[in-house]
Amino acid sequence: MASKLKIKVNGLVHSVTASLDTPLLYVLHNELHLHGPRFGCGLAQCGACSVLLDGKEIRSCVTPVAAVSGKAITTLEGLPALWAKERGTAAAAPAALHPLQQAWIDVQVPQCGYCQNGMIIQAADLLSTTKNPTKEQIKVAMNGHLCRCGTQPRILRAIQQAAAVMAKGGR
Amino acid sequence: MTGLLHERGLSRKTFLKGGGALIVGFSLGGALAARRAGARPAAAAAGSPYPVIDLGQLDSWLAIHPDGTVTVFTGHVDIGTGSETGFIQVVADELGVPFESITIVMGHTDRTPLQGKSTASNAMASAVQPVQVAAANAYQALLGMASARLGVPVSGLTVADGVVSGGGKSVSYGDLIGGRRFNISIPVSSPPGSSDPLQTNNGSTGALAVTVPLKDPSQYRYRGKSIPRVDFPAKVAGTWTYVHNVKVPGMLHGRVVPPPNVGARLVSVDGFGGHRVPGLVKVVAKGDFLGVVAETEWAAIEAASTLKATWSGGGGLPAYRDVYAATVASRTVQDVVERSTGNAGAVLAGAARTLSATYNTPFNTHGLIGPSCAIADVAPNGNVTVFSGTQWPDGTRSDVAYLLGVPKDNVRVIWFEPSGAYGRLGTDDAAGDAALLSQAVGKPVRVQWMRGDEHGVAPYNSAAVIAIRAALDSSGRISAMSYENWTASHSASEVGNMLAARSVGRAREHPRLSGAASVPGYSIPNLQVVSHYKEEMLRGIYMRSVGGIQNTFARESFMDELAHAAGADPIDFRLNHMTDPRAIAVLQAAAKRFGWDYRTSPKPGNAGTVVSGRGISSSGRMTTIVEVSVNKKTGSVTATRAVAAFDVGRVVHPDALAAQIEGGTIMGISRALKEEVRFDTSGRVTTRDWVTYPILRFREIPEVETVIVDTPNPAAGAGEPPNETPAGAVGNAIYDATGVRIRTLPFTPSRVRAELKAAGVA
Repeated sequence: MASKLKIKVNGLVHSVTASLDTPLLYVLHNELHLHGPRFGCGLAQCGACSVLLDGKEIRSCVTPVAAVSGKAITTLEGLPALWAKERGTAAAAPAALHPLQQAWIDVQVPQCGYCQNGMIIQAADLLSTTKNPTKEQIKVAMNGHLCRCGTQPRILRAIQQAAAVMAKGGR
Repeated sequence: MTGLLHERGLSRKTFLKGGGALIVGFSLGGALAARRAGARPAAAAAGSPYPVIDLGQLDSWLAIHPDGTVTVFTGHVDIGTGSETGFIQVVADELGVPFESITIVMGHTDRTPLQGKSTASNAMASAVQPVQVAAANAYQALLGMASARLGVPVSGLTVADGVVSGGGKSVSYGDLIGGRRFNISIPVSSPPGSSDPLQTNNGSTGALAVTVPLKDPSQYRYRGKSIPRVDFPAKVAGTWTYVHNVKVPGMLHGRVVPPPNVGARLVSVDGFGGHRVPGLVKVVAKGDFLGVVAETEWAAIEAASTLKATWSGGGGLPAYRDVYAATVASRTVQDVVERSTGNAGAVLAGAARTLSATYNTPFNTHGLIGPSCAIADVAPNGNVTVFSGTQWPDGTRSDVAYLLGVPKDNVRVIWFEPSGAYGRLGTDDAAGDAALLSQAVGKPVRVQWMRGDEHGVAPYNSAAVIAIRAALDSSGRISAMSYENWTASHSASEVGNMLAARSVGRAREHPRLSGAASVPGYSIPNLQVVSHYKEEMLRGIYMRSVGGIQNTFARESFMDELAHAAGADPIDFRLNHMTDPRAIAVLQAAAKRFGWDYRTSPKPGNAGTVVSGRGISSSGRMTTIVEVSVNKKTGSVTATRAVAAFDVGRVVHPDALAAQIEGGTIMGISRALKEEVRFDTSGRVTTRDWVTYPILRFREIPEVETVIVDTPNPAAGAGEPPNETPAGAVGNAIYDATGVRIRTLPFTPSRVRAELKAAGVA
């Protein structure tokens, strides 16, 4: 049975209508029209659907929408504003891209790009707790995310680049 | 970049509506397209609502707008490899305009010229040709116009950034032609391959006759440079529109309930067992096709997963452990002698020293991270629009028309990028499902396959058995070789064989046979190569390199076995049988980068529990060297380093090429170490998710070093070769490390452990 719910996504509270057991992913994609998180498996096995829930990476394909009420969801689209907030920049003028997103472009990471949402979200989670991760720490953190195009070596480089940029407080 | 994205959005006919929803307004498409493109030809076939694009008209390929920006129209599509960027580089050079001024419309069957399939790594090898030639014709025409306008002979004109200058004056392309047609005919020198499902398709992307000068490579400004890819900013920001993100007004959501096992027939639909499904619109059963339509996506998923149905029959597959014996024993569809040079049979029969071995490669699945997805709108007036990520828009158009029983003229396919597809080609199963469901409810329906559908009923890369026998002469050279490959055709699902089509009895016999034996490129005086095309076991379709990975694994493993028998280093032994200087240069470049220690295998002194080794594999102008670590106790194999060297001819985009080599190498190692589609005797595929069909994970990814051997030769395809060679290199490296030859893929811990144990090594 559909219910009216309020969820906080990328800093804004949205009213949505969905049954309580609907996975968050479908609400984000079909109600809020956010295209960062993507359906990959519906089984929490691949990570294409990842979002941040209070800053920690979760799989939106298996998280019921009812479970996120009162918590802050950040999607790929919300990373620039999140970064602006962390830096204390005025929200009115956020950086165009989060340093991770910029590093992804600088290193030319994607191929098809379908999995990269989860890769960037997981990397944001990692860098929020581990400012200067080693290669091995990055590999361990990213191990739950699948990429079929074989972009992992570039992802590794991009995370290292973004970590260096963020350590200096900006671009 | 914002401007570019805006242009892109317009060209893909998208606009924002209510709350930022991306709605594709295809009813406005025609008018919008016409405005963007100037007065492009829009001749529709009699009775067809959709224009047929004339290949032989310059205006079909590109339009220059009053502001000097350019729209390119191509039937080719970019499945994540960067061909869109490559096409823009080529056109920018040929036309003499800034890279940033060009946008591309790809794969709209009613707006772009037909270009056959986007397959076989053909983007830069052939698909770009007509686009390049059209741009060259436009360049010459613009020079002529400028000459007349400025009163300066063409020889006195120069072009920079879309502005023609001469005699102290200048005029822009936008002023010369902006918004108007060129009206220039260009002879079509070869047509694109047919999309008629009853005709064999040769895969041609079509070509235009070259009757005007093309730019000399010395004049290239963009080609050969790693221009940042145009799709990445939107892809990392979350604003890119994949086919999965397309929404149309009034759209409903569908899901399929595929047959539980191969060949099962639908007996009855038995309801939801008391489970209420709010939002359900309709259960659609037609022949053996079963699907649901609902108002929301989650309701469709719940309906499909709770719907009860009775199925009968099906199965008929062998026990999985017998898959290779069954492949050889199954009915032969056709035997093809691929090569018969000299007299291999007689030389082998009389040879003093022969060697033989048989190799097995399993079914593989493409493993799209984003499952098949399509939106179909079968309108009440009989017109059909399909949004699809197919690699062959016109093929999908033919398939959907035949499936629905409507004229092809009334169907159009609008392409949006899918998840990487690695050869799934026109087998866009979701397009067929969406078409049937939309027809049943009279509204647009979006279908996205679930993971179990994608892994469990998608078409696969067929299993193969390859037997090789060779004779070595007294000097250690191969004097004769017999090479046989048993496999089902890899093109069985290429045309008209979407799962939905099979389910409603609208699949068609497809005459094309492909994917069996490939002729070894080594110099062998007596050579017999035979393909045995066998009856289909599981629905088959090309996968990155088609038969390449199977044949290369077998041939390159066997070359190492021969090298061992001849007491030679594996590289020396290969060089002794190679004549193509480019292939030799690549092999040597790989060896140099790796720091190859020339010696025989296995590596001496490997006595510990964890041992290492290195192996080489070569195919044409691609060489891969892989270093592995093998735990003899657990059987676990880790690729620790890979060097991949490639001569693809003249490089359009070095970084995109490097990315293809890296990605192909990683996927190749993944297929070597992990990947295997399995089934049970009921005919049910049991590897239905990422746990049962694992692929290489982050911690298992080796360093990949690419060596690009750039030569001024015509560009060849880059997507497939890097994927062919790794498996052979991994197998040879395992042998180097352990002295045990394993001839069946994948090299899982259980297989490696068992083989080592059988050989007394573990």
